[in-house]
Amino acid sequence: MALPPPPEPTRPEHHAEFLRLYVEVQDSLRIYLASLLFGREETLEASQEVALALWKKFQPGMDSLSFRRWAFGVARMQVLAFRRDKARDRLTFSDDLTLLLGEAVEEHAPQLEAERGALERCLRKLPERQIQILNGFYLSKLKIEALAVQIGLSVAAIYKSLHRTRLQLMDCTRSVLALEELP
Amino acid sequence: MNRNDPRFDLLEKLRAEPASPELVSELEAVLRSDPEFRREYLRYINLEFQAPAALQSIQGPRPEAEPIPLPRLEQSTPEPASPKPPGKRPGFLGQWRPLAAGILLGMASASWAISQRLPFWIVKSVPIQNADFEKSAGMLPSVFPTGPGLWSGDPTEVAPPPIPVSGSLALHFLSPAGPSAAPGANSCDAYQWVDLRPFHSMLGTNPEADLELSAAFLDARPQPGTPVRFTAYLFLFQAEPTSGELSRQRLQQETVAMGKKSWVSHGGQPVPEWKTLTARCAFPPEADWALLQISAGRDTKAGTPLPDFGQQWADQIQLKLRVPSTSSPQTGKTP
Repeated sequence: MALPPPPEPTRPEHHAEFLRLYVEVQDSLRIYLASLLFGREETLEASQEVALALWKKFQPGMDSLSFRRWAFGVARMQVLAFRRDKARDRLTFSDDLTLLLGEAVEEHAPQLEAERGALERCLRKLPERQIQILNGFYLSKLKIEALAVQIGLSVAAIYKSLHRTRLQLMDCTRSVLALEELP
Repeated sequence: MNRNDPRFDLLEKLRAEPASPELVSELEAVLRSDPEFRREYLRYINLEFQAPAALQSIQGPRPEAEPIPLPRLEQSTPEPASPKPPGKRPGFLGQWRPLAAGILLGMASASWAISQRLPFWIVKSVPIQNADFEKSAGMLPSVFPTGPGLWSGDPTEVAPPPIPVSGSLALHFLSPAGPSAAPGANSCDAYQWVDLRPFHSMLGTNPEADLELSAAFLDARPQPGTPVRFTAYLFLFQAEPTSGELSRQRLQQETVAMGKKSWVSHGGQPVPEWKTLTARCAFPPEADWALLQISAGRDTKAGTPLPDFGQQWADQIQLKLRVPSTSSPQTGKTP
């Protein structure tokens, strides 16, 4: 398959600078994109498009904060284009809410990052049955129907279990982080 | 927030059925009206993304493969599995290399997510010269390294740490202002090149192999102070570091994949503890060299000033190649 024409200029001397800035924001960007796109596969696809768009338009000399704000703006525009390309415009939040979610991701980025560490501790507290369901869904990537057969529950029960477990984990990570903040 | 709040049911619906305009509209209404629910929505999404790696992490140690004998670097250099003649490298990426690096950056996380479904990994240690810093004490060369098998970079020394993690010596970060520092450098960095070519034969046709760099860090400041960001970086290159005309800029241009893990410390722990960071990145077949970067510096995310150096340490640097296998090591069957 022929490659599209390269971005002009390629500016190799700025690539490391770009990579460092991008790596700092990539987790927040991914959460932001997921909040606007709903699906995991769509989010991964859009993340790659955003990374390319950022590199093509990157201007050196930005500090972390400027880059972060600019990257979120580019991501917002890419989501709109992504939706338009897939003829799914009606599955898009309004501009107002899109901006609000971007602000919320930036505001809560440190807490969201901290929750990743707490999550492991919370998973260790779950009963084996719940871990089995989570493993099947997140690690083995089983479809819910296949998972239901494997576990011996109905499809609806698997959805319910996954949802309840997620909420349970959210409560747990909040508690773990609150305890860590105690003097 | 009450978990019985019916608004959480919308999030379940988003997972249980394809998004519809009606569902999106309903979710928009609740997200617009309540900042607290917006935060909970983001936490829910964050959990979804973090779950695979966290689950993998609690499964216990991954099984090691049968050891493949490889000579230590200081004794002899292993023969590359498929040596490429100098100047005859396949340059299919050409001017696309920076763009490809950007793509790979995005793909690395995708590849990692995809690989979570494979429960067995063949894991092989990649030799690093003086990985535990036990060979000899003293200052490291203050130059950017141009060849494999040597730690060097900003002003750092190998010295006894206040709390040993293993052995008696560790890497001591002294100053960010060495010859290797870029203008306006925010960190004190030590580097080492590692030859990856002997490991290409383990990749086979598997596109999901990755490299894992881990490093232990210590912030021994007895009083809380300016935050220090410790980072383990892993950059993969096709370029040969020993080639004379290769500038640092050109090496940066030729990054084909990278990984990073960092930790911000404020110091002031009654008993300072070592913390191990693990960075991962995809191992594309064109990657011949890894550049390890062990760093302590300013917390640029928070915009805090440069911290005082002198009580920051690193030790136990390890690099591992991980190749997913669909077969159980015990049975040879897919579990």
